[in-house]
Amino acid sequence: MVLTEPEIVKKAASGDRSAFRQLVETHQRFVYAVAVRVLHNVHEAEDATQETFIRLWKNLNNYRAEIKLSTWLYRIVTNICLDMLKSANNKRNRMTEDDTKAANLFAQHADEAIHLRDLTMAVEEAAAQLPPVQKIIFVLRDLQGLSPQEVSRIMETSEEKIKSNLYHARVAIGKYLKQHYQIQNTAEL
Amino acid sequence: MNCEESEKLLMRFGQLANREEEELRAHAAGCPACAKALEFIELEQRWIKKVVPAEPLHAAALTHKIMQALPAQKPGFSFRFLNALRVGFAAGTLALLFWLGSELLIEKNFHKPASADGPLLNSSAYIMHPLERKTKTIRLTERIKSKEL
Repeated sequence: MVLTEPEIVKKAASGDRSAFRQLVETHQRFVYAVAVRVLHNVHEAEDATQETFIRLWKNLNNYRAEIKLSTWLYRIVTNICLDMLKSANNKRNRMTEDDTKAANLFAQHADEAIHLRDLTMAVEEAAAQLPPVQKIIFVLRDLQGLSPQEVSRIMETSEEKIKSNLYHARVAIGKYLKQHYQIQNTAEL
Repeated sequence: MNCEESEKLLMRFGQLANREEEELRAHAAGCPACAKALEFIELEQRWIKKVVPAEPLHAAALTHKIMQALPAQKPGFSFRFLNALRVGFAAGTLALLFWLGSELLIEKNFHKPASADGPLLNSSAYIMHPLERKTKTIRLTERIKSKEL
């Protein structure tokens, strides 16, 4: 019998670790994706992912079924990432070798892999220049493809503020890409 | 259309109706600032479509790491009662220190009457002095008052 997500959450909330493992396996990819795009470091992204699920485990009893579990997880991971970004001791690192491997993972052919890796890195480099909140909104909306309503729920702010922040983030990224990657212009895309 | 209206449309770029996009482009054709913003947003929108999805390199290893790091307690278990105990213990320690301090202070500041039979254990010896002083103060006040009068 296949259990629904609320049923799995209920089992996990009662202390069933195998049920919780199912939740981790289902959701860890997008949690990690947000963390790595925001933090630009695979090790920190793994730490943020781990911390997200630990917080979820500790607070499963407070879970309300009217909120999607994914929304809740997005909220937890964005808060953790914001804290990490704001931390004074946190030195931002550029893409590491592991990140490059990750970028290659889903490319079909070698040539395409190089091209896509460069594009991905360029966008990540541009996003790294953004203020933390703008960066998270950009990642959630443009890279994760969430609706403005979902982003608004996750960030617990108005849609107007989301749209305004996203507008500034998009302009800044476009400007950065134009300035730094003029050779790979729109004709190539 | 003015720049303010144009910016509102730019904020929804990608979700605009055809008519709205036409109006925006018509405005941008005569407005260098809005034309720049439109150019940057279009460039960003084209590039992000090609971005490779980010995935953990070793998903199974990450799951294992997360499961290993989970606390032994069940969800909802709280250490709050331990915090309450800690606060209670700290308050008790403070009260004890205050009491000890005040005892030492009293012993230092008030003269303990000498006794030929050894130390006086009766605490009334300590409270004698404040009472005496109070009495003296009243007498002094009365003396001042009588002089004034």
